[in-house]
Amino acid sequence: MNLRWATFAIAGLFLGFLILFEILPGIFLGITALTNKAGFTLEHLQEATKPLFLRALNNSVWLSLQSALEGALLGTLTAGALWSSRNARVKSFVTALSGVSANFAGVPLAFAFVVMLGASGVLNYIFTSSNLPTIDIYRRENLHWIYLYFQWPLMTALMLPAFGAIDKSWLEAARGMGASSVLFWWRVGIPVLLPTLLGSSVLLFANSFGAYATVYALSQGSINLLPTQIGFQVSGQVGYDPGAAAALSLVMAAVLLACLALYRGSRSWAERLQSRGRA
Amino acid sequence: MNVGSVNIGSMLRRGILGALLLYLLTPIALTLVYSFAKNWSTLLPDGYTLEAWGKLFGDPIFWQSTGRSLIMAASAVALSIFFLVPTLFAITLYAPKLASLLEFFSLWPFVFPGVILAVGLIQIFSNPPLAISGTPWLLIPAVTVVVMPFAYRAVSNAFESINVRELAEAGRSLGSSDLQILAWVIFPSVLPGVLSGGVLALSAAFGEFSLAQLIVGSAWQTLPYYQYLTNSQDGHRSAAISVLAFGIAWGLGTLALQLGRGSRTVTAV
Repeated sequence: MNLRWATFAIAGLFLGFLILFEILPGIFLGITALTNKAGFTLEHLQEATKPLFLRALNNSVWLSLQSALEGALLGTLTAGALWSSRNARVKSFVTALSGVSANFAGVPLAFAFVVMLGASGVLNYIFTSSNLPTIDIYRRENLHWIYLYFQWPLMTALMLPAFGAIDKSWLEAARGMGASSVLFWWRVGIPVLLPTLLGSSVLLFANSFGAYATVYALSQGSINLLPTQIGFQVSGQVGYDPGAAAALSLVMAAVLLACLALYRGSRSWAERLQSRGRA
Repeated sequence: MNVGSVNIGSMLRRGILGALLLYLLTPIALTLVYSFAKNWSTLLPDGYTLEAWGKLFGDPIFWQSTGRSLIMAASAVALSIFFLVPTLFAITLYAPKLASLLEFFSLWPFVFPGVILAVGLIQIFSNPPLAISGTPWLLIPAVTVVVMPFAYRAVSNAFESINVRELAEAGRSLGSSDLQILAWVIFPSVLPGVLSGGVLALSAAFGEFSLAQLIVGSAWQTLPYYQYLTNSQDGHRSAAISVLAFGIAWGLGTLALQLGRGSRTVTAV
């Protein structure tokens, strides 16, 4: 058997598989969103602009912005703390835990937050007895507390390699020449980190924008966000409307495509910066 | 040296690392306690019991759902690796120009994540001749598509870390066939990276809920869907599943770290 043709045969099968299960669904969404029985139509896209759906889009954008900003700020500080820490065991434990938690979402996470912050959650009991305001985890405004659980460690994991590009001896050299730490971070640290910081923040935004499992597990779709509306339109006990689902899906895909473009842009910016640093 | 600022720095460092650990571990710790608690409406539970865990492990539906999750995740990862290793080998050695095509396929799921992939798949596969919506025959390919970018990054990093072309040239000049080179040289050197990425993808596939809920729902119930149904019936049993899920994710994550020691971190894009 000729190895070249055997591997090409498997690659060909792979191509067929990807076209059928990955690419075609995307193309079908476009077709469903833009046609009805009579042919081309904009009615589904028009439907996607009705107030309920616009509120869902608006809610999703704000939730994603908030959770991306919180995650980016805390994650960057955490990565910096890990970078400057000399305790190897703490470093490797926090890094491993971040890797696991960044991917820990969905039903198990939603329920863990219900245990803490549900109607009879123990943290809410503590808040009540110490006269602090309670947090109702079923409300949309409080969803960002759950999203922070995976966004913070995700940002930490994304920023660690960028901090790794800053040599600690630079900081010592700068201090030796009388520069303050603040000046060092302002003139050297932040410019080196900036492309990765921006790119990773965009990634966090996208991560929250497309997230469905956690919010569905929490509220069965009663929290009005773009992903829950899309799921509702295809599996909904109330309204079944594939045309609207497809149109809303296109809106989501367009936002995520913009995120991907920004992220790729930030990557090549970071690479250019690195090659200039080496020269 | 400014001693004062060093102390402030180390305090800030401890503070932020401690805050992260607190934020990540408190929900798991409290959920663990809740799974053993009898009735918990004040600061401390009224008492402790193994009832929730006993009910969970005594429920045949739980074992069936766990088995299905395992079958689903293992099939999706096996399928990814079966496709990716020969494809990357063929591209690296015979058709380097096609690498950007594979890159394109690995980025597509970023723009079409689980929830909208499911919408498209349901529309295509609900009508004859391909009416497989509602069955694992559609769920497994769908999960494969979603975890493929993880597996792709890991496998392609493993291929990049060795020089396949040079190794192949050396092997050929010593009279080996390409098959021998693949089996005895390339495969053993990419194996750690492939296994490490495979375990990460396994962890992601095992917890997959969006696709399971939208494509099959209760028709072919996996573990996250079982927990979703348990939420409203028995909170303590649901808490036990949350703890179990975290334990599995932690175990698989640690295993992936061990397997991939020395290889680079893997992200999906």
